[in-house]
Amino acid sequence: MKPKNKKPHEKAAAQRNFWRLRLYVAGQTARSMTAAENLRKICEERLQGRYVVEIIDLLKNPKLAAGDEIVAIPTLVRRLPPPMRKIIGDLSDTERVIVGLQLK
Amino acid sequence: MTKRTVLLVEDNSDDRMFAQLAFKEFGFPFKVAEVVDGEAAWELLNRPAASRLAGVILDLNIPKVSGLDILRRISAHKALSGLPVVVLTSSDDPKDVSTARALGVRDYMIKPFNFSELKGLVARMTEIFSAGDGGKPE
Repeated sequence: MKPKNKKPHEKAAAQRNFWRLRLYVAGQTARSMTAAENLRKICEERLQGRYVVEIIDLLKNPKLAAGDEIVAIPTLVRRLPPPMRKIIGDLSDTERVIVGLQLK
Repeated sequence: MTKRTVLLVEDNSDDRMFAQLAFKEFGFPFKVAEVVDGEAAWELLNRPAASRLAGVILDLNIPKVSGLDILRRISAHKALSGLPVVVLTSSDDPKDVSTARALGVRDYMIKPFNFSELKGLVARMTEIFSAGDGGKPE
């Protein structure tokens, strides 16, 4: 059976409950590794089963910097739910990340 | 034609890598050599090859010898005093800004930037380093 297309309000509600995050790094520097690990912990604690994290290595995909307008690394981008938000750094200040991503 | 070299003095490896990416993305027409502290920067600036440098991009908060001390040394050095230096730092302390300006930096850029500022910053550096030592700060 063909799945029913979601109505706009259902789609919006689904978007509000699903988190699509992107972490921009450049290679495997200590800060980038720390950022990835801190992000994994925060997501597991706060968003279990409702998130996807994409790690973009700018050394392999340098052109992608222009897409999300990255100005430093590591940078975390919340692509969903809207609006887009960015946090620069190794994400070791959990409270700042929670506030920045509006996880409360 | 061989590209001239700019010296990047920055202790944070992420910032160094990002600078290289930004330079590539925005077509910075120089090779970029990197050092991670003030001592290494000063050692390199004292080699004969330093006379061929197009300029220096200098962080102020660096280990061993501070960025401001490097600026003082460059400013007092007969052969280096004309070398264009751009400060790229997170310090917005007015004292640092005025000291750096008094020591002759061509520009003082405060991190973080937004994306369009970043593009403008690379263009500004290109202009400064392409001009050689022809222009002193306003």
